[in-house]
Amino acid sequence: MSQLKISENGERFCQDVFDTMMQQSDAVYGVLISTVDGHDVTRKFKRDMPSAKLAAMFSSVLALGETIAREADQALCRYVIVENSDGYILTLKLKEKLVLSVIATTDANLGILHSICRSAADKLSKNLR
Amino acid sequence: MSEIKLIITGTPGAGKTTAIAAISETPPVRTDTATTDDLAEVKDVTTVAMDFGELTLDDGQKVFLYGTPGQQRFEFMWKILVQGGLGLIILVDCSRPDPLADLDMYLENFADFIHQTGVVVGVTRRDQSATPSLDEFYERLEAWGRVFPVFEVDVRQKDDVSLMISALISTLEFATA
Amino acid sequence: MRTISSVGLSQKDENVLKALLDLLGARTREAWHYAPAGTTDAVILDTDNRDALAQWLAHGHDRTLTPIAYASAPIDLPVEHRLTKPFRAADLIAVLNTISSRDTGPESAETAEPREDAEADIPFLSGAIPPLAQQVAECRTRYLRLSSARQTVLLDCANKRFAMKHPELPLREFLRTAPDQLDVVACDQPGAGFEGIDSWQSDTPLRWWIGVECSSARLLRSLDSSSRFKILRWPEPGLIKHSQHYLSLSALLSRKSGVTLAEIASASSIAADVVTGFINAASLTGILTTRTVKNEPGAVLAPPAADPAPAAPVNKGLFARIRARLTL
Ligand SMILES: Nc1nc2c(ncn2[C@@H]2O[C@H](COP(=O)(O)OP(=O)(O)OP(=O)(O)O)[C@@H](O)[C@H]2O)c(=O)[nH]1
Ligand SMILES: [Mg+2]
Repeated sequence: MSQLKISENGERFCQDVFDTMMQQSDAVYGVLISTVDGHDVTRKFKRDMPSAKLAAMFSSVLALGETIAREADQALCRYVIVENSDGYILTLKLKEKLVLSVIATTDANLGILHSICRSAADKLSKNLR
Repeated sequence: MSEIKLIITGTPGAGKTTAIAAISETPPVRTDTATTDDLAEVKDVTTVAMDFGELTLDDGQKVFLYGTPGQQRFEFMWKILVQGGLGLIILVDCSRPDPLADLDMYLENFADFIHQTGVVVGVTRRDQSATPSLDEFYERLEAWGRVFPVFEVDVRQKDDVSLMISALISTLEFATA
Repeated sequence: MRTISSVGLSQKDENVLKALLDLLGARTREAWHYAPAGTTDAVILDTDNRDALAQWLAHGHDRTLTPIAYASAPIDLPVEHRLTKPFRAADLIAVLNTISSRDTGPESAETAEPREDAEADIPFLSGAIPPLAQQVAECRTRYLRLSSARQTVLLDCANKRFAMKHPELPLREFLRTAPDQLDVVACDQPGAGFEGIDSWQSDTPLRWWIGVECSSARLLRSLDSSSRFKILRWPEPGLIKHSQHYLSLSALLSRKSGVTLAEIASASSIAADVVTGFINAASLTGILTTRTVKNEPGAVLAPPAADPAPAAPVNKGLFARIRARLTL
């Protein structure tokens, strides 16, 4: 299947960004870039997680988030946040066809996670195609 | 009053979203996003969470129609969407390389749900491929014992979608044995 | 195989004779077929038709031929076999069997006697024309020509196709023509107007609507009303979508172990003649299978998998409302 692939340079760049995010907060233990239609592109996981499945799920929740916003007559959906008893998952759109997701423990608060995500997304958006 | 929920699944591009749009009274809720893989040759967008449409019965009761994503990587959505469902429609795009294998895949994945309810198979894009024959589709269904309907449909036509739902309702009412 | 020809018959009588011969099949001791005059085993003479009779007598006819006089009243002719007008199947069977038994010896004569209950057994043979569905079921190799005043349909039984002339009405409406307004003739050739025709269509819809519309509320003779009926596949949408009953019947006949007529009656309120027409139509279009209940002890002991639905009664009204909403 011809799936979206990123160049070697692009891959290195992404890994650097992921490293930075994890340095900014110990709470972050997984970062994943996937496509809007649910394919896994690149990732850095400190724990074992099913990246292909998560990639599909992130595309679903993000699409649902956008659809819910539309149905509720609200503008652009920026993030979908899943808040759990022992962690957070943030998902946001990256450019047209990509999705960035961050998985973290509750050791960081949502505000910090937001800011880490936002700056990573800015960097990635500028440098990826 | 119990919720009435029918589910439409099937191959990517078979017309699940189109079918729901054709028959829903309200503008359907869609979760289509850009396609980034081979499917892009066939179409620009694909459903990644669900489609949703509704019909209102004369007593005000609603019938909810849920479309699933087609690709197997969205299997988790299939499991979520069939919960509480009354019956299933499988759309098979007969212009794909192996429509019979496609059908088998959905039958297998929705087997538990089909056992409890029933299924109608809609063969789509007949204008693009006359094969496999309906007999071949029926052969794939033989193992079920019950004879589920297989129809050639154009899901862009509301009547064809109605027909599948009517046949499904008849199957649920009369052919659960 | 035996052959029979005719002399002096009106076109209508000739048609009836051919149709009867076509239908008699296994009911005569030997198979009888209609053939042009000449070298047949027997010949039916319309003795009311004096000219034809005179001509036949004058032209030194073949003496080995067995003549059968066919007349509205007895006449003075040295003819052993007689039939009184109009043609009645039972009489024809009797005469043909007498000819067979005389030619092949007396020990088989006993079986040659038409059974006393022959007519009760086959109600439509009591002189009346069988329902069209029955005629179609028994026509395997020939053509059936159906004509109303303005429209003609030719069914090519061997090649599973049909053609239409002057189509005024859609098939189904055409087949609703009252039976006495619809002329049905079995023939060996397509006949007038259909020579070299190339607009043949699949005969499935024709056979379907004949089953539905022309069964006179009687199951085909090949079907046993006590068996379990099941379809192999659903009829094409165009044949069932306009009636909820047909969708319901399709579903009922889709059950794993099929259904009996009694089960259909208890599960639905569909009129018996609609059920019969549907089952005949399924049979004529080749999608029906049957299982004789008595051959399957299991089927008798275990009633068809306990009627499914705890859901069913609850949902009955609901299903009806969904249908009403979808009305096709
Ligand atoms: N030529 C042709 N096109 C058809 C037919 N039926 C549907 N289509 C088209 O096929 C496409 C089907 O697209 P969708 O309705 O998005 O398909 P889907 O099943 O929802 O696909 P996914 O969401 O990607 O799984 C639409 O562009 C329809 O117009 C048909 O019978 N013939
Ligand atoms: Mg879709």
